[in-house]
Amino acid sequence: MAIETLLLVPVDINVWKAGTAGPPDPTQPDHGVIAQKGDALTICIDGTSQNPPSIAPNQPVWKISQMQSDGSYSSTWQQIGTGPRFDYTTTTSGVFELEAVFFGDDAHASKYLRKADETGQGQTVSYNKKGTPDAFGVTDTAIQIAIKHSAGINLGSAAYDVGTNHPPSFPPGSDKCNLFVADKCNDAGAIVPWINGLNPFKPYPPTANQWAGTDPKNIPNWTLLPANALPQPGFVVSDPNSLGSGHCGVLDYDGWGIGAGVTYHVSKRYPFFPESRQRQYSP
Amino acid sequence: MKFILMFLLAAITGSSDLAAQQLNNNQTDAVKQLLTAIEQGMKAQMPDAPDAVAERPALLRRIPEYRTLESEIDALWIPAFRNLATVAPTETSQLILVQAAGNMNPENYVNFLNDIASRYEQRSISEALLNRAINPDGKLEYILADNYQNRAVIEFCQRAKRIFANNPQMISMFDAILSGETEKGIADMRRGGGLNLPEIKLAQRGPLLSHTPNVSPLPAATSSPVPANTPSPTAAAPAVETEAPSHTFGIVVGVILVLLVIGGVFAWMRRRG
Repeated sequence: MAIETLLLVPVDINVWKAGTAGPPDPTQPDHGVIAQKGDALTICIDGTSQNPPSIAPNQPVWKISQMQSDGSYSSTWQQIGTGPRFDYTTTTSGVFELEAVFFGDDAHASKYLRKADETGQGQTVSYNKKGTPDAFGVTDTAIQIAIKHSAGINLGSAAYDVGTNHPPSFPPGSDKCNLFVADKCNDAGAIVPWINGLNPFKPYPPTANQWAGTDPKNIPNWTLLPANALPQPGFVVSDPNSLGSGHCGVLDYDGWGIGAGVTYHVSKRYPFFPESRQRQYSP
Repeated sequence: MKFILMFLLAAITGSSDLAAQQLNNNQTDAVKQLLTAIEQGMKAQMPDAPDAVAERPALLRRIPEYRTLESEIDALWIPAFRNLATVAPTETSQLILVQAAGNMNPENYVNFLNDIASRYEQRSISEALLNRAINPDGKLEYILADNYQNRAVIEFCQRAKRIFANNPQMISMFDAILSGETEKGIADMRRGGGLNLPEIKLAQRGPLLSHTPNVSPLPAATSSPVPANTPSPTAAAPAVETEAPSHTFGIVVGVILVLLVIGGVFAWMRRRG
């Protein structure tokens, strides 16, 4: 049987930051592959094997597709390398899907897939399941990675539930998505000024509508990106709501927003969409 | 003569019930069609994760049928929830209905909450859905806190405390609402520029919960989202005021027809006499 026939069966693909032990544990809350632009990623077929299967040395051809501003992925796949295992030095920031193409057969390319259902969300969701396409993230700055980690380790946490009390400004019954964003960014060292409040002893962090720019109050050190900006992990993303207070979160490695909702614990339920706007920490 | 009149009255009442039933069926079909179209719209927006769209009202509003549902929700929620198993058999479709209710007429909202609470107690909806109804993402977001002195709101919050008897966080949330602590915090946010959502004040009314319960019997739930030891509702029955007009209309029409018949009979008898 020809090797081309054998390779019609999808192969397992792993990605991890070059120089680290191997792929991240997908069952941990803050998993996912993330790197700063210029860092190298190790890309490999056949699991974490140090000795990938012996096939033609120029196979497969690795291609990536970047997440667009509306959350969809580009239909253009860009070639980034060849061979069963190679180190890819990242050159562009963003969120990327990855595929391995054998012998030019794009129709049967093997995709980089999620190894486990999304975890740490407190509740099961019907998406981001094991076997659906996964992605890796590349950031402009190191602090974006820190922001992403700071939010990610809180997945599943009840600390920002609507019923919680965060004196003096957030009594039980108040939405706390903006408090979550401010706290997690501050924890990561990205200062979010508490710009609201008449009483200096009772300030409030920026609201979701302010993060989204529909409420024009300035948020110092946080640049409001154009509506067509390509998503990156560690951006603050916000969904304005003219009929309500909106919703904000932090973009994870795969472009999904991590946020504190009113119905669930801190969770990853927010795909990126055109109504949303992003901000980047740029002191 | 007496029997003839009784027969006529029964016939008229029966026909008005039939008309009401027909109206109910039409509304049920309308909601079902809207939900089907909305779910198709969700899939078009996000083929890999359509359910995620249901969590974001801003995305739902991109679907024309959702905007229709939202604008008609005051008239449609009663038939929709009465036939929930048929109209919205999945949690996602139920979530769409609850999301749309987040912008209903404020005066209907507490009735809606009581109805949802009953359904939660009867194990036909999930706790997440009840939570979303209590915390709507829209103009009604802080309506409970803003109306913490309103009798209907107080009664609902007390009821919710019984429902969430095993959840200290929810108890403390409803305690904060009832004490006015939440309202004070929200008012501070509004004054300080942290919240642009206008305050909505409900009209103070009589004891809403003394009304006859109007929640129809529910089909047996396929799964049980509620622990078996959940306190059962006794005092707090939902008051569905919006259902009254169709019955009232039928009764008024019936009475007028009966009076016309009686008048006609009297006129005929006088002419003969």
